[in-house]
Amino acid sequence: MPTIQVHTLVGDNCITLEQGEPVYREVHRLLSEGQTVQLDFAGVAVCASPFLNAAIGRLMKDFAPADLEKKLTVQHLTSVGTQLMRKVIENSQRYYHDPDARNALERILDEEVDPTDGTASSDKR
Amino acid sequence: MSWWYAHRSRKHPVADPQPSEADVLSWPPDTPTYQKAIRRLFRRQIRVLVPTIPDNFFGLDLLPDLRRKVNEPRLDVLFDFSDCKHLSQQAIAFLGGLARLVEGSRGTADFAWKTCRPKILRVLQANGFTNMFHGPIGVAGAHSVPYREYKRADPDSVVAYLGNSWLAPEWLSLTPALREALVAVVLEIYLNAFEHSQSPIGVLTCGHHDEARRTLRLIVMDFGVGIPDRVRMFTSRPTLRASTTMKWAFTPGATTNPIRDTIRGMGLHLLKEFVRLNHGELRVFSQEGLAAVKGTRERFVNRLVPFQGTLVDIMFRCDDRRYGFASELAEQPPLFG
Repeated sequence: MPTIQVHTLVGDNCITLEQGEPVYREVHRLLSEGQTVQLDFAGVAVCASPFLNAAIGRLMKDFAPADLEKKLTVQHLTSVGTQLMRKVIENSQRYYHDPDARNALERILDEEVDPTDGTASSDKR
Repeated sequence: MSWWYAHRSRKHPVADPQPSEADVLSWPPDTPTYQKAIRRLFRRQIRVLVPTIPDNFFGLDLLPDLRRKVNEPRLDVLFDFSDCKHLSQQAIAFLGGLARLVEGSRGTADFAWKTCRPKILRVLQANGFTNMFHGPIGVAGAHSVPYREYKRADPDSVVAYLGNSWLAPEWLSLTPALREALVAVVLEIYLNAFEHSQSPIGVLTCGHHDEARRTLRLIVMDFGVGIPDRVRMFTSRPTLRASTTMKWAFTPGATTNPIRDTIRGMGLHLLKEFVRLNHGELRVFSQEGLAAVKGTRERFVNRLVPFQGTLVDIMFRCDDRRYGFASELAEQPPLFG
């Protein structure tokens, strides 16, 4: 099973979207070839959500959650990193597989209350 | 170069208008001394009285007025603390920002340190503020989070600052996991500021550890484009109220800078959730919008006095017993399940 050493690719801190890009490309390539991938976070001190969104979250667009569960394993990620990754995956699943989630943001803007008459602007349409 | 003006005014007392700065600067000789002397003629010196700025909403409303006073190019500003009996952490970051703003507008900013009350001066010395602005150097305070300025995005440096200075191990006993969680979640505030705000002064930060209350405070501030304007521009809805834009910005997936298929906009949502679960407090002032999270309560409101830029004020309780991004930490469901 191919193992991707995140620390070798990125460094001590996995923070930005740009840092997530090479990890995503490598994981995507291997998964597309049908291989099982191990992502090793040994040596990584801090993981932030932009990195995880770019490296892992984007995979949800092309791969089903069940496939990822079988074919992508994560190793040596700290408990905080794991919690963050869980949040990122949860959010990505909603975004890519729940059409209603994309409209949620739009709804917030439409719910705006008009200060002149106290009605929501969406009521007027 | 006063002879030049005198000569011209005698010869053409009424008809000849005063030369503009551009006219004068184009006139030879083009020597540095001459240019400096001419520039001095067009400068204005002002003394800005810094009022007492309490650590509350009223104090925050006093800050925009200070900015209005220095909001023109080529000012020589002297900040005077004679009337100041208290300076909040927000005000410290703001004053640093103002000084850099003045300098960025081809002016100079100085602080009348002798007008500073000893208590205030000690705070400014402890966090290194006086050191940054050529003031009296004092002893670094044990519970002071250093004042820092980041001109450009430097995430590694911010991680070091948060881990070593804000969460200084010598005065905070935190588990490694809590330390990592705090750094990871707060780091995103800086990333947002660097990426979105286009702040002319970069990002400024300072903070304080209150030993008695066991609280940890952090201020992150920029003078760039605020959240309301960014959301209005992105959604092409220029009439959106600031409170609505703030609520939108705190929703997961909301970003004003989408990049290809990458989901973004989790930073503020994660921070809010972390603050909520850990009984902290979060206030984000951006233009006329305010987002306030305290425990489980959150509110998004419009304010009368706008803050030009964004100021994030975070307070955490230094308590190891509770932390995390989710309440169901004990359960470990499959990652992609």
